[in-house]
Amino acid sequence: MSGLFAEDLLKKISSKINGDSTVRRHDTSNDENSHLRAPLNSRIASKQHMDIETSPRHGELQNVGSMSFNMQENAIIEDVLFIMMGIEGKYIRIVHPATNAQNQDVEYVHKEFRTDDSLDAFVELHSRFEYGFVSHALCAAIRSLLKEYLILIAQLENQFRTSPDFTLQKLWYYIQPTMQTLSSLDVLVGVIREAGKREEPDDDDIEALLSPKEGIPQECKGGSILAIIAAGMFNMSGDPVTKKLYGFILSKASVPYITMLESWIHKGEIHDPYEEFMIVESRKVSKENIKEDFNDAYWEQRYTIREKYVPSFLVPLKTKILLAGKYLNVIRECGIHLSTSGRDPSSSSIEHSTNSSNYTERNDVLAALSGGTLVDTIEAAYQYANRKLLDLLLKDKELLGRLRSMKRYFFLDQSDYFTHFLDLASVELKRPSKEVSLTKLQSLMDLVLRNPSSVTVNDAFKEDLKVDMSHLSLVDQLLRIINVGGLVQGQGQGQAKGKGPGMPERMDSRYSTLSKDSRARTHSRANSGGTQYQQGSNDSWQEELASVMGSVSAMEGVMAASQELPAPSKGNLSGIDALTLDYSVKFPLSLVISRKALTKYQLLFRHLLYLKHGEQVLCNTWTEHAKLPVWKNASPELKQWRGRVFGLRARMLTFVQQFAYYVCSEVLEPNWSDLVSKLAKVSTVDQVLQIHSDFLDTCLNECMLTNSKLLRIYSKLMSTCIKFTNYTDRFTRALSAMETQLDEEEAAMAPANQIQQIEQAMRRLNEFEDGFIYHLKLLIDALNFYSATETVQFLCLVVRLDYNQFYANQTSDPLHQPAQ
Amino acid sequence: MPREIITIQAGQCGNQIGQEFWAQLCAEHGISKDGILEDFATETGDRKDVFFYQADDDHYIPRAILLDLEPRVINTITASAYANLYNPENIFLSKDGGGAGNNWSLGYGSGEREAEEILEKLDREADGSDSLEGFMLLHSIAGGTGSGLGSFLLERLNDRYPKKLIQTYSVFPNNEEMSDVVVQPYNSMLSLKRLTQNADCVVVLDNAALTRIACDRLHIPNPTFAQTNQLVSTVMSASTTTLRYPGYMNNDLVGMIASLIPTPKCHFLQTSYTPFTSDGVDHTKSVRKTTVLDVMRRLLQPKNRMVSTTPSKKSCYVSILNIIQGEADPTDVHKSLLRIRERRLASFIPWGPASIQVALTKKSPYVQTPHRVSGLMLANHTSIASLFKRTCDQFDKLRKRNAFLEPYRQGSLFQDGLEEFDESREVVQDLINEYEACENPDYVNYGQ
Repeated sequence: MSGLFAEDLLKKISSKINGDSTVRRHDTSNDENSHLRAPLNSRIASKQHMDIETSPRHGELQNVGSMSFNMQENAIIEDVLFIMMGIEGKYIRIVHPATNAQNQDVEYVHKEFRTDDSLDAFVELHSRFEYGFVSHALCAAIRSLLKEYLILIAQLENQFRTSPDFTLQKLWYYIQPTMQTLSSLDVLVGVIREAGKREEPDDDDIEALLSPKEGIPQECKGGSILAIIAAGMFNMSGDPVTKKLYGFILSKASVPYITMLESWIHKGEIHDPYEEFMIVESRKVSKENIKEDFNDAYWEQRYTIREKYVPSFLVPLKTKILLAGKYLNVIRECGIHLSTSGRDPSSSSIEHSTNSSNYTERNDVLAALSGGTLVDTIEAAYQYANRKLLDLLLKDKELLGRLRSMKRYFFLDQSDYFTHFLDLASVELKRPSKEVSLTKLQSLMDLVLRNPSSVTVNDAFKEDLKVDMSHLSLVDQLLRIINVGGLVQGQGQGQAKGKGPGMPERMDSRYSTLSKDSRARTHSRANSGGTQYQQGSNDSWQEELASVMGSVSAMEGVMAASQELPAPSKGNLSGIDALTLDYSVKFPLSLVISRKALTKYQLLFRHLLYLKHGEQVLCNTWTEHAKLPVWKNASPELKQWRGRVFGLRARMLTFVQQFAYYVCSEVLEPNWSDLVSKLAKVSTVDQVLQIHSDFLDTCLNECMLTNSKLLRIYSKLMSTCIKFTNYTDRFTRALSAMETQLDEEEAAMAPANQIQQIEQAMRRLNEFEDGFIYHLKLLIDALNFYSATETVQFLCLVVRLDYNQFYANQTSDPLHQPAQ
Repeated sequence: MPREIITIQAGQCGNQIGQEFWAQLCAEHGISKDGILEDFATETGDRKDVFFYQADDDHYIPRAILLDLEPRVINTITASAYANLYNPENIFLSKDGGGAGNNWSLGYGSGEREAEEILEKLDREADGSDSLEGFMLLHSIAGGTGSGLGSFLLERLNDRYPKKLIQTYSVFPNNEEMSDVVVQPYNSMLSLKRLTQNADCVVVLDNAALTRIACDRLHIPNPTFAQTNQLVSTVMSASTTTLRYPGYMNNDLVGMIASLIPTPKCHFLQTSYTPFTSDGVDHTKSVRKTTVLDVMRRLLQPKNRMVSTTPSKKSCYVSILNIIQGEADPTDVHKSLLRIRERRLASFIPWGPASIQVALTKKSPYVQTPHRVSGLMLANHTSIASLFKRTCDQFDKLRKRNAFLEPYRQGSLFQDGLEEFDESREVVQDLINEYEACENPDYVNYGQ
């Protein structure tokens, strides 16, 4: 009986322990297939014999069956012990699977190696340096387990030798737990190995290809190993023993990883020679570029997460880990020493409880890692780094003060300095932009900023403001930006070709005006009809646009375009049209106020400048109209249309001022206070970045600088205003000259050419009147239309532009029939 | 610093208003009565240089010229706590000290006589500023000095500084009841001609309305001049806040005026202010809730207007500028604008676009007011013509009888006859006609 049992037991042992090398019963039918010749024939139990197959090597062996049960048992125990160490026994032998690939009885042959053999091989392979620290730690852990296993064998052998009543059952009993351990380990190692294999053929990761350690697949390195172990642990959570084992392995294997992690989250340093950590630093991205380069993605690209190396249990924390180190790095880049001692001990408890619920199912895994405090540590480190950098930006570097000063300079929120500057520089700014002396402007600006009575004199950052000249007019620049991204809008493009923004649009006759009018009508009908196509194209276009204003490529495109093509209006761009400001920002703040952000500030500034300039010239015209005797004591001829000139000027001034009011008090100021209140509540640096760039984008959008159609109409209106002021100025001069002439010649002759002149001037006035009203109505229509798709804010502008419904009531018949 | 404004205060009324005005400005900028910056005045963001300049010892000195023909008011000023504030060189007192005796002609005549000395003071002030924007004349048009001397100055300023803006704060007499000065209509008419022809912007303040406001809004049964003057100084300081506390817009006088006055002739502005509080007036109602809409709506109510006019059905606003001080939410402005349009609280000219401009400004950090938001409205309203009409009616009554004309004949202007009266009457009639035409859609073709 005992023999039968022993045989059964032995089978189990061999299948359990050895897994792959298996005790196989003798089976006559497929004898040639038997890979283990150990003749422990369990089926023929009735025979009470074990078939002993004499192997060639052990020819002198005694047939087991012929021995007494005791002897049989002893022999087998001895063999088993040998086998357990990977050495062939007398009766139990190892057959490599390669020799019997055809084997059908695969139920016994799952693995290629004997467990400890396989483990040994794994350890051997993965201890090679290129497998990285985590592999090494894993191997060390496995090795220590193997060592224990050997000790166990030694103890068993000792028992076997010394204790007379050591039976196969006892052996079986003793090795039970170890067997499980080893098989679990084997499964684990198998998975790791599998993972390594699986990915190898279709490895298209460029980084992996380029890296010298190409041979090591990412899946069995670093974080991924930890992920596999953790997954195993999670899957085996019903089996406390295995779970504990995996926990042990995990805690050992993760040590180097955790060390790296801690050095990252606490010091912002990466020591990762084998590229197994979850964060990669790309050294070629340097912070110096951020000031010059549009596309610089220091913030996005300097440190990135290597998704494959993020252990699954750290996935929910990965952004925090990334940010913690990233923030610290910024601080370090600023030359600020990070003292670990200065760390606030209480910070660890800050968010301790809040997040723990998310990790319940991972608790076991995390408990195995550095004593379960990992989450807290990461949390604390993140909090620390975050607060530190926020403090650095908001307090030490006075981000808000910076932004406020930028608001003052770029948004002209206290524009007295700028009025003064325009006064001083007016001569210089009238010249073509190429001839304008930048140094002169700069010195004038400095003069204005340092004027003790100006509000800017107390601004700490006034040194950083620079005057600059753009080579493109604002509208051209914006249209380029829009066009690069907004190619979808074929209509707008067509129009752009038809009448370029800088091209003066002549309306020589009523006919052309009328035809334009009708064209516009059909056009606006198509718009307001809101057909599916129109809507669709607009939507997609808008998405495009949304991405454009932020998108790096668009800016890049603009830069490229502007370098290649000579601007159409370059030749006649006057100083005032080209004037722009620049602002130098030092490193940590340049993360927030990057070149991209600065460009948006510049665009907004130039928009405002354009309005201010328009307002100023119209005000000057007003002064002339109000003060000059020519206008005051108008001659009868002049009186005829003086009212119309005044009326048109008033209309233009209303337009310009209401537009400026809208931009200032309904776009910039509310958005600004929104920004300030958001910044006050902000808790991460990335939020700061996001909020700031959202702020700028909203401003641009609501100032209608992102829509080419609106922009074109707007620029048309503005240029009409400017042209009109030139026209009346010229006329005023002509009048004054005429007056003196008349005085001299006693008004003897009212020459025909003067009448002609006046008639011509009248015609021009008609053109101005018609053009202005036509475009303003167009603008109001367009704003009404786009308020549905772009921003509701446009409606506020409509209300302002036509508060007393003057233009709305004018649709049917124009009030101002030219006086023929 | 750019865009300075020189204040000229002429006559009893002008100097009294001026005195209140400077006291108010000093309080708002944290300048002591001696012109020295107070220790607490550390806030930046204001521009004192528009109305003050600094002497060598850092005293702030008002860019003000004080003119009077009789010493009473000016002596009060020089005896007050503010004595050291003004530049003594800028104070002009007629040598004989007899005053103008409510005679426009006398005031004008002494102006002619003393022109050199007065203009020398003006030139000195003008030279002291970097880029003078304009002059602000404070006067009343009913008396002798303010109206006569003021009119003279208006004429001369225009010749001398043809490109500088001239803004006046002109106090009109209470012409609802007969006053003690019977020749008021004459004086007013003669001044009105100059205000029409030589000023660029006239802020009309009406004693009748001021008294009414003091009675109704502040519950003072018989307001003194000091109390009504305080109302005026509040309005003046409010209307200059955008110049003194620079914001996005309206940082110069011309920008404000140009939009308010589309056609140069119609340059008479009305003001409203709400809510009134002042130190001298303790009987104000309990503190009300003030929102932007609230303030903007109240500004449009006739009872808050500082001019008594009788609007006709066709009367309309040519333009409105609201200056809102205090913690106003910019988003409220839009809502208020819409609400006002919905309820048709204001009607506008039919011949062009017109709107309520709203300038949001800071409040002085040194002056505590119980209200969160306060507002001033500067409006160009065609109903102002009714005020001129009333003046004309009263003038006509006197003129028909040729009453009280004798004293005027002493003046140089009237030595050859009284055509000046009729000429002035004509100019004012033109003005009234223009304002009436302004209510029609075809106003732009007016004058053809």
